[in-house]
Amino acid sequence: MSFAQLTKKFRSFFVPGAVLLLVFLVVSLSYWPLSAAAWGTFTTIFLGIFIEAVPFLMIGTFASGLVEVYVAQDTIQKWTPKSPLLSAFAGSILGLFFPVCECGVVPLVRRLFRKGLPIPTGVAFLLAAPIINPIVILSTATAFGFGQMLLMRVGFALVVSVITGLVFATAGAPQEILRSVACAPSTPEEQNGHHHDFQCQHCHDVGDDYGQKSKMSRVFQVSLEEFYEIGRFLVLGAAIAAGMQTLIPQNILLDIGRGPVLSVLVMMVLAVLLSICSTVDSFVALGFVNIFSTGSVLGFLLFGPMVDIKSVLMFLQVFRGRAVLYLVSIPLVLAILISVSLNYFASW
Amino acid sequence: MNAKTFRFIQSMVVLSLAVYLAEKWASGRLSYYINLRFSPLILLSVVILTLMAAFGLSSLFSGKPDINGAQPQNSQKVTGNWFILSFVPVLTALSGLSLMIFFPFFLLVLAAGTIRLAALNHVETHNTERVSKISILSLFAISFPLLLGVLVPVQSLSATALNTRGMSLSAPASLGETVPATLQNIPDERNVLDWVKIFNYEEDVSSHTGETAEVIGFVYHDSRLLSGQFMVGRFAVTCCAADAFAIGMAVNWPDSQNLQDDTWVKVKGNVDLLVIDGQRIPLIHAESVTQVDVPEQPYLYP
Repeated sequence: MSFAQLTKKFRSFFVPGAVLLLVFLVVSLSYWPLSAAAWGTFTTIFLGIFIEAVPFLMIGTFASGLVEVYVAQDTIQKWTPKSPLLSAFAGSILGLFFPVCECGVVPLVRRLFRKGLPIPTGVAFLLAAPIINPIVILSTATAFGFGQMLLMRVGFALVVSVITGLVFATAGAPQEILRSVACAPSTPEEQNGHHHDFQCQHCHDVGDDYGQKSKMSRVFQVSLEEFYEIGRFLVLGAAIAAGMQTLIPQNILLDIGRGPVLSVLVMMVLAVLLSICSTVDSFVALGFVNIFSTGSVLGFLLFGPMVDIKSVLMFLQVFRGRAVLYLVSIPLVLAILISVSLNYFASW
Repeated sequence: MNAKTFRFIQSMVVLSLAVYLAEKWASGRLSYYINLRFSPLILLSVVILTLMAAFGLSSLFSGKPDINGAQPQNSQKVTGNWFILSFVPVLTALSGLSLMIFFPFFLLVLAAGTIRLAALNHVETHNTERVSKISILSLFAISFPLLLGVLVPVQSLSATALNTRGMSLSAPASLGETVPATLQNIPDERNVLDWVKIFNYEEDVSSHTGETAEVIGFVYHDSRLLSGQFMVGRFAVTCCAADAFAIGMAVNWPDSQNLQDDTWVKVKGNVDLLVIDGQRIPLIHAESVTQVDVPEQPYLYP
């Protein structure tokens, strides 16, 4: 048997082989006494994050499917303001009308970019939507009451997202910022939905003159594709977050986290590590109010929803690497500045 | 892997995810992973996931294309069948019937789909559209939670998780909920969290010392306690297991050495005040410590 034949034979066994190996690994980890307990904890935390995030991701992919099928490109171009400041501002309050959290906003914003949404609007929407949306405002108000913390969270989220949006307004053509799957198609054939990115074979199954029934079918098929494309990063992010929670002692973080600057940094690291959905993170933050400075709790509430492990991984599906770097570092610097100066200059 | 096979597996994995979530909801085990006030959202995702799978399968199988690849017009009936077929395993799982009942339905969909797919692939020998490796990896990624969920024994967080979090001595007080509300509870209906809150936040706890507590929790030997003492702890979960924090009451029990960490116990006795690191927590002078089963809902919701 020639070498080529051998590799061909090997290839056809690759997928089933990988599945079997994975099954073997999981089973042995869960029954081997040395690892069983920690593995069990990992699994519970991992599934906790995943199960909790699935509905929100689903809402996002479904919204994205609706946008793909029912929103025309001209509509978006007609409604978005021309000036960068106004369009960034519009993006930052768009979340009030599309209540999605940080998992759901990624597929939606990617779809909107494909439909020609301006970059500053999309960036501001991406960062602000997990905070400035009715569900999150309500949950923050429930946890902290209608007061300073709520106003600061919403207000500073607006500031950070608009500034980041404006920075992106100066950045040049969409093709340099976005990955090609997120770019608005230029040919009319592609605009009909016949874009040929790698997972869109199903497009051929649906005729061009969509009936209402096949339109709905297409909405769900777009969400299915997107659930896989974005969901794999949710899985990866949840696995990393769960792994860190199983291995890195939190009390070490909490012990070093005193003082006006360190406390802010620690709370932000914690926000990234925990990767909790923004719809509920204020209840979690409440647990730190007595331990940490007010500025650092704000840092947690401000930065956590914008950037965490899973969202960064998902950003990479929309933006090119360099853009993601900016997308993480600008909010990071701004959130640190805001929280630390609150700790120094505000008195309560 | 060709495009049709890929699409079929994609739909089946999503359908399995729907069945998995439905089963967890029906069996009450969802409470091991998330705060149950989110279960309506989980049910919503079960519906959407099933619809995704149903549309995925029916678009794949709607009518048999002829050799030239043209879609026949009379495909509506077949589509309807695949639609109903996708919902059957999910509905049986939701109804709380045992694994033995809904799993065959799932296998039925799988088998029917595989046969249909084989027929399709046989007819369409010209169908050479391949799927990229990255896409195949995404199948693995979405199957991973399913794999863990099915293969790893279902368990709630245990004292092992305390290795990295530790038992916290204070409970966060939501502003919406004031301590007096928990005070109105009859003392022996208060849970661990209620007691900890009272001792954390009440100005004067002297009226509560001497009351009788009867609480359920897991055993944890905290290094801050003396010998002859242990913690009876519970995890409090706001959103999901990722944000769980453990709180506990100290228990005086001469035989504490013989209790294994993670054993679930019911502790009954008079409550006293204990101060550790400047934090007031409740201490039970136990009259009885009895072993119990893990409660239906292992976590407390603050």
